[in-house]
Amino acid sequence: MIEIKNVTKTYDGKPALINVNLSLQTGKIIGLLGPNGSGKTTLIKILNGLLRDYKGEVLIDGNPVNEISKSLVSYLPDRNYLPNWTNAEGAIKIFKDLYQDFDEEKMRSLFAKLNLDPKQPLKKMSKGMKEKFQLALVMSRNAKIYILDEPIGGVDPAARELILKTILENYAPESLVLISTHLIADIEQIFDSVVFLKEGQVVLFEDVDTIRQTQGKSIEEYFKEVFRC
Amino acid sequence: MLIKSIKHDLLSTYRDFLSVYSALLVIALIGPFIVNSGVEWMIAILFLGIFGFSVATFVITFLTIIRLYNRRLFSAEGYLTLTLPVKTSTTIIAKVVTGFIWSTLTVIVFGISMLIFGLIYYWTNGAFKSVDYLALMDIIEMITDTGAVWTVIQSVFVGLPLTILDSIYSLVLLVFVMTLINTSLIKKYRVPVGIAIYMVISGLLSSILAIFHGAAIVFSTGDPMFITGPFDYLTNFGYSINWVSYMIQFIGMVVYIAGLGYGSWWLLEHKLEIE
Repeated sequence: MIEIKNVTKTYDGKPALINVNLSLQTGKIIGLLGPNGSGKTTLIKILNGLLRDYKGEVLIDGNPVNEISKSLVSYLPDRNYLPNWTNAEGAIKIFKDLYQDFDEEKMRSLFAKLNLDPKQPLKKMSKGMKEKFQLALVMSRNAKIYILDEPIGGVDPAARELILKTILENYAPESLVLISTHLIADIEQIFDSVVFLKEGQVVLFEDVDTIRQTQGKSIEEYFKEVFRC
Repeated sequence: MLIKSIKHDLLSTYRDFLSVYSALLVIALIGPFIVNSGVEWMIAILFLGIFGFSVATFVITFLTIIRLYNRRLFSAEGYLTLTLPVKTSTTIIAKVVTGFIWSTLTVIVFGISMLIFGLIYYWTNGAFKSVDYLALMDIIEMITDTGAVWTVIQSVFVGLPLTILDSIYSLVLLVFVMTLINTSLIKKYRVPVGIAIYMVISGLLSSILAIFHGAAIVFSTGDPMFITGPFDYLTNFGYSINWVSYMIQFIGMVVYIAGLGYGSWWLLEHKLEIE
């Protein structure tokens, strides 16, 4: 579903991604793991067309990054990307108009489950509420690919559990879910496979069961071992 | 998708313009009463305010359009705008059309506000009561008989396409420069670099066009030697079109718009680097 071939990206001569090659298939939840500055967000931005100046090739369901690939990807960035005055009703109008796969009923039901007030504007929400708001929007699309950048980054442990539950209950099993995070312990139980990014390079791409069996460790423990300075 | 993009751009920005338009209308409604109050310092402040606000309205409009482009494309909202399943060309056109709608609306609201100001001023002064409407009708008839009004309307319509193109050109140039400073080509001092690039490109392109053309529309009021009465100016009023110059300007603007539009598209497709 996602083919990344020889992708290299530099900022001011400093490499952010070095010759990254990945082939990510549908029906899996894949963790994109690495410490801060390892290139996770850079890779995600490339997949979503927010970074265009790189070497290599990216194909999404056989398409280069364009309006077709964007229609297949439901993307949750690591920041609030909606206007501050928007409330759920406003966001529904935007998503309903611009995404054909948006499911309004699902969105309303998610809002209720996440205890969000559909009339409350974003500017009056806490950081955690904003994250849940955007997650509800993103998971309300019946997309082939979900790319979630640090979905539990800025929320308390109770909210993390709710967010993970929301992801698990709302993605289509035949879709691909790519989740970037550095909070591995909280989330590793939902991954099928993980990609370790270290200083812009893929150092590991493996099924979690294989890692647990061969290393005899949890993903977090193995991550700490790989990234130990 | 273009219409939907424009709709959401307008919905996302109307709050910014609403405050400017509200302020204009408030001045238009309250101003005449201040003038009629006869308090000199208040009148002085009012006219200074009107002058300042008139200039500020257009500056604010320009800055708000810049903010609109920056916010919708290259700040946090860009993460939504640029990941929508919309062609890059559609995104660019939507931004230009939105900017054009707001700048045109600003001119219209400004004109209406000034008209309201004048009407309220004369109405509260009782000026309409003392008007000799028969004499006024005579004057209007004399003016219309000269054909000058029709000539002015004609010349406005002839000049309108160039005015529209010029406005679109300014907006496309703005999109181009703002896109350029948000690419991997410009890494530092993006705002001052953007201002400098805008001025250089604007000056350069204007100079190139100026080399090839003179005035497209030339107004004339006849030979002053033969003007003996107040309506002679109107009787002799006319205009001529230098079609060669007109077409050079027209085609030049279209080429600039196409070139800068393509440039913006290419930068977004190949060099975009959103922070």
